[in-house]
Amino acid sequence: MVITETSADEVVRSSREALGLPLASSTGIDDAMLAASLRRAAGSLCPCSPSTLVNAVLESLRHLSKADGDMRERIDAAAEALIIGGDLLELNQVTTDDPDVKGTWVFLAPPGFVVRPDGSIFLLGVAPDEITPLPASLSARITYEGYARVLNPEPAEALPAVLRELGLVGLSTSAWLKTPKVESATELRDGMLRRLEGQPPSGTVADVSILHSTRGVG
Amino acid sequence: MPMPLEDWQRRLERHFQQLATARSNSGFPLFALEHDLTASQLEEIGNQLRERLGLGLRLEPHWLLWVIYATELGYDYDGGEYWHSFEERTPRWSDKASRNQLRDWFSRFQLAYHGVTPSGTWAGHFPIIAWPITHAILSKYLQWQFAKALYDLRYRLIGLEAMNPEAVGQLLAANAWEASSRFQEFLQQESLTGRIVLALLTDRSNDGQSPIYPPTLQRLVSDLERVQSTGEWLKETRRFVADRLKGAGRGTTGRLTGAGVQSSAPDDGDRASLYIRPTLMLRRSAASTWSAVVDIPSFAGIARLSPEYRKFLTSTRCKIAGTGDTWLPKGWLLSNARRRVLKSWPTAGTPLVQFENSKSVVDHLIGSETRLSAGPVWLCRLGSDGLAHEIAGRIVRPGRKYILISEKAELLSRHPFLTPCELDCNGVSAAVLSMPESVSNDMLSGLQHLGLHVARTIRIWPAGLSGRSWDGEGYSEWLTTEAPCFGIVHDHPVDQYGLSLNGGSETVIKAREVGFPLFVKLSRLPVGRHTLSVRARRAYQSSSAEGIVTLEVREPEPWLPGTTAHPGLAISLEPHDPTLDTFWEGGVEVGVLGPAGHHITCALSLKNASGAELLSDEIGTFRLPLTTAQWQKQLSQFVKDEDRSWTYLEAASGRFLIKGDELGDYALRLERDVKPVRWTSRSINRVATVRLIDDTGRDEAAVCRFFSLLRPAEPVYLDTDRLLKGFPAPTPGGLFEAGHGDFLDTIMVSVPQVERGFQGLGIEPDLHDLDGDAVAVTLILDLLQRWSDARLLGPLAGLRRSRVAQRLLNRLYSHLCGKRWADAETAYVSNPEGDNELRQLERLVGGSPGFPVVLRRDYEKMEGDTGAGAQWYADVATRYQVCSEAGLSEFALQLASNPCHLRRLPKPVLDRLLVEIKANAVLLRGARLLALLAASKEQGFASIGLPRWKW
Repeated sequence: MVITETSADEVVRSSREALGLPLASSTGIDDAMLAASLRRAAGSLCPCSPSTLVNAVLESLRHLSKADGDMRERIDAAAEALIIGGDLLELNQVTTDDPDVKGTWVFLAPPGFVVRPDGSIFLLGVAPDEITPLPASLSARITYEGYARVLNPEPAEALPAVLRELGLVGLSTSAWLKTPKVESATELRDGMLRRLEGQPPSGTVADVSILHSTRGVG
Repeated sequence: MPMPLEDWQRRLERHFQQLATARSNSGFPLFALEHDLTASQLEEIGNQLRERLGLGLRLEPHWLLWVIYATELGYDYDGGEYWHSFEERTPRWSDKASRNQLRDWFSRFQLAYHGVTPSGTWAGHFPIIAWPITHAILSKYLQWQFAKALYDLRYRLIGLEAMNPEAVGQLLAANAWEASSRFQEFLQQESLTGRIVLALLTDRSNDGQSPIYPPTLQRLVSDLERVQSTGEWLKETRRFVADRLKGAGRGTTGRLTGAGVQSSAPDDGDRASLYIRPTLMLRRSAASTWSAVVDIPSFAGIARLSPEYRKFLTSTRCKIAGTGDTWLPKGWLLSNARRRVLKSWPTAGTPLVQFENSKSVVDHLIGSETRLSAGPVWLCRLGSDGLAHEIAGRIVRPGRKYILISEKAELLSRHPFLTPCELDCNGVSAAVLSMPESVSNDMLSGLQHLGLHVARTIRIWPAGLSGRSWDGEGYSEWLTTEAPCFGIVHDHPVDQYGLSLNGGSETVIKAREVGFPLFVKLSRLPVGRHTLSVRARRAYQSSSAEGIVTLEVREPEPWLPGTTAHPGLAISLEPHDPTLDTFWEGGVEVGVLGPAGHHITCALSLKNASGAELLSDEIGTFRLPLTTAQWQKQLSQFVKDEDRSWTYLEAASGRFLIKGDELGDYALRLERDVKPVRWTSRSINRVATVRLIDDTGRDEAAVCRFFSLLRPAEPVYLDTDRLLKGFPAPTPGGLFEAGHGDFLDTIMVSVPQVERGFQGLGIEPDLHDLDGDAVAVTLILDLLQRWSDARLLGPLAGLRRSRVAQRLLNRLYSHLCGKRWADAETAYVSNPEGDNELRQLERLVGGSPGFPVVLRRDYEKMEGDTGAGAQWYADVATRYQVCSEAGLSEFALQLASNPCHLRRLPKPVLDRLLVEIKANAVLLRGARLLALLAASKEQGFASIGLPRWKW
């Protein structure tokens, strides 16, 4: 058991290695590293709020990059991309313990995949203690496109069948790209009000003061 | 010209003799599969053996070839019926030879060449087929599961080189508890499975001898690699084990020498790897009110320590202290981390997890590991997400906000810097602590009085990789596969830092300028709790400030497909691991929580013994949350379907699937309980045929009886030989019972008479055999238990069994409570809404008139915890001078609600209680009134009239 002093660059390099990211292609904290860090943090923190996830990753990356200033914005964007892409699920009105208490939290999506029209495979979801639930021969073939992880099948390789056999859930493109149902403005407002009523109270919000607390909005 | 069998016999005798001699020093016994024959040679030998058998010639001269022949069939075994396929592939075997002959030849092989002897409970129950299947080393149908089990275990296989085969086998058996029951039985042969693991994953040998003959091992590996997934799993496990042997982790976990799977109390190494420490969190329940929530980690780590613990956890209900009296389903702690709201603060030193039954070793562990941290105050830091998480180190920092909890309200009220707030939890008070940017001396001393420490301005944090469970003040979790890095920064001059791990030698690092961080990296750490001590020093000061970082290190948990590793879909099943029959008969309570309104789909697939899919149907689509009542209603519709009932007859296994789309899937393997003596059933052109399978290996025949649905109390003895070949179930069906030694199996087959239209569907059991006062009550209880325990097969089987049970119950209560009472029960069951019927029951209870009135008014007290309900009934019975013995009152309730299970009581005890209860019929009638009132509120009341109280 050894303790050694190390540099910020070496911390980044070592973290990239632990996150299964390529070392040669990047020397710094790129989008792939932010996404991988968020997935790893989500593995232990979820269900939680997006800000909890962002704060955890932000703290671990502090002082590691010269561009610390915009790090929160970059991590925020990465977290949003993971929710949009399907690695994380933002669910509202969720009951996990007390049936009377519902909340809106970020959950892990189970490991899954989507086959893109060009045959490449978009990997989704998080296995809490593992970078990926794939065996090393497949993990080594993952390529990183921004926040996304992509696997390209080899000629004559039935990759979707292999992934299904490994237990990953195959989502159809239509299910993955499913958009929320079209709603009128009134329906949207009513729905949001219902969600708001279902939320636990926020308590005092720092730096916000309500000027006319008795007056309605709108 | 094929080689004669005599030559093959001699050649193989020589081969095994040489192998036995070469292996004599290693201690590894031989397997018949280590024969070194090619597929074509095996085919040639098989053809000659069959030809000789057909001609009726002596088989004994070629006994070794028969051993190999039977072993090869064991290697191809599909997990179903060994003898059935053996006899199909070996025509005239049953006429010319016997199973016992084959067993004798395997024994001869064992003696001649130090062959392996089957061991474990499974081998004891299946004493003949255990030989060819054990000698096949790893039958094909187990290979997929074996490769998967090794893959799932890969993180725990460090130190494999140093382990003996038994220890490896124990480790595998203790960790494969999600596997099928047959695979778990296979794993009982720990020495055998350990050898296979060592042979597959290492190049270890004993005295130059590999644990398995290399060409045979190569055959196993080739077969494993033939299926892509098993090949990948095996490759990955081999790679991982090889890497870890080369890496720093080697030899660091001494506990993997098998100690971790003993039944004794876990040692410190095990304890360190358990992680069952609950964590405390507060969340708002109103604008200024908070709720306390405890997060209970999964107990899967404890289950892995030994099969004994696993059995205990899957068969015992638990409750969480401070969260109410609700018993949580068996196996609840194994699924995944769960949260519960604390309604009252647990008493100091009380374990949070309490089990219904006691188990000293587990209690000891739970007692010490699942308590909240010691008081008198608990500190939670308010985060940006509005949740407050406990800070175990009780360190506060300027500018931050906290909530302080204490059992002593006065402790919080005496400090002006605390603002009281509401905590929705009995037994504690709470206050908000807003730390100013600069802390006055008065406040400092007040904080110290509360047991809080103000942090110094040297910050340490996990760098690069965020720390799991990092509480911001020094506590974090890591995996053995990770090398933790930390950043250290100070806002006042420091000259150097001294760092040491676990009190070892100090590493001195020169500090940087104020505000400039330095980073340190630790090597990968073994499983356990580690402390990193950081001392900040100034050159001219003798004293130094010290900070402690606690690192809990554990092995990674591999992801298991078909499990929800996140509680977005919180699934509860009771029982936790049902058989296919229990599931089909509606004996599983399913509940699912998740996003309100989200849809989930429940589906069931059924497979026959060779793995072919017979059915794959949706049970239903539900909106969350799914309650047990909704589930049972939908399932009863599903199983009523006649086509499905016929398909179910042939099913050997099933898979229950909950599909939550993006929330993930949950899969549960369902298997039939395979007993050494058992019934199987097939439908041939919708004619149900039952067949007896007897794998007990005993010379005498099993005793078989049939109880017709029309005469459920009158057994007819059946010819066993006929049953072994297959027997069409007579219309309208009935109960088949087979007993052999200690083994017993019963099935109820329902055969509706379709030609008689609706009339043919119903039955009216004739129970005149039970008429007369001389009939013993225990005989009726026996019949009830027999009919209740039987597996159900065929259309309408559930309904018809209920009819039989209903009639038997009526006879039972007629004997014990009188015929008028039994008639009144029948009237009430047929019209539970009828006021007259209920009044008649009340009138007939007897005793003080107030007694039934109170029972009718307060019967809901029996809902939930039956322990508390029994106490209430005993109090009422005492008050109305019906009975002053609490034990007899509880017996009355059990007899009134679940009479079947009373046969488990020792006979003298049961006989005495039945005499006493017959002498106090008022007590039993009162209990029956409660049971009927409770059952009338449940679904399916009319079918049987018993409530679902849990005893």
